[in-house]
Amino acid sequence: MFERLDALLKSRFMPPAPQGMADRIIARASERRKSRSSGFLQELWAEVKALIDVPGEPAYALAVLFVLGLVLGLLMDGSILSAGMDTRDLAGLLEVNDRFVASEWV
Amino acid sequence: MAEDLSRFSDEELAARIVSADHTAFAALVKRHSARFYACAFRYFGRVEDAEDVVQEAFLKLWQKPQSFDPHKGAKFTTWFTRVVMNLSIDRLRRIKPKMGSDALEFIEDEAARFEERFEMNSEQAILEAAIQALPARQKAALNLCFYEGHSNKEAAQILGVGLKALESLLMRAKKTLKESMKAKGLLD
Repeated sequence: MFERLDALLKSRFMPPAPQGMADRIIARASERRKSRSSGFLQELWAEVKALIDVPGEPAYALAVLFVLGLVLGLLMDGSILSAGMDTRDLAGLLEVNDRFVASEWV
Repeated sequence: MAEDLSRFSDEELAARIVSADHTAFAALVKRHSARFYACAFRYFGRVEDAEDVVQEAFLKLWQKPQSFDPHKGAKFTTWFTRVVMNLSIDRLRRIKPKMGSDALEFIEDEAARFEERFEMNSEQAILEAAIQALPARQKAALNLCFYEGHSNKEAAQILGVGLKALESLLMRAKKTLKESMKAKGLLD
């Protein structure tokens, strides 16, 4: 069925490889020696980063929570002071009676 | 004194490349670059594209030598044939639009180029142009089985298809070639 075609296919032409091709490839690889070793360092750094990395979405959520907490903290501080109390009143609230008389307990 | 690496197998040289042994890499390039150049040339019929592909394939091996795993049982040459074939098919997909829609017109133009560039006789030039006009996978099946000495089973493995699918690719390639050669008056 394909006898004549097969005979034709056997006569397919093939030009020789370009002169110096192997040397050019070897030289290009030499140039990339340095980038190959830095490639190892990059891979190592990527591994370390992967260990401590927080993926995109959770990192964003954590940042929003942090800012929200900061704002709430500031607002709460302001709300206590704005309820007619000054810092001395606040100190009074926080005063602890630490004068201990043993006879009162015995 | 430089070490004689000619007694090492391809697989042993590839293993040494993992530890950045540049002399092992050079030995492998010198041993196989002409063979894989021929392999790439059969996909393009262009010297420059073929050299680029062979260079890219070897540089990939140099930069990521772990990609070849001899423990999977594949010979280095079989694995590297697949690398060269995949790079060639990728490149063919990028340059294919230049072919246009009329296959016979493409064959005529390419045949003229082959005659001029490589001093082929007109029969060889038309054959080469007709092969270049084949779809990439049919061309790959033909190249692997007819020119690179792979058995149908090996060729099917390299192409990542079953044996039946490979035979079907080969049959379609030959039918298309026969029709093209008939249209050009080279076959009855």
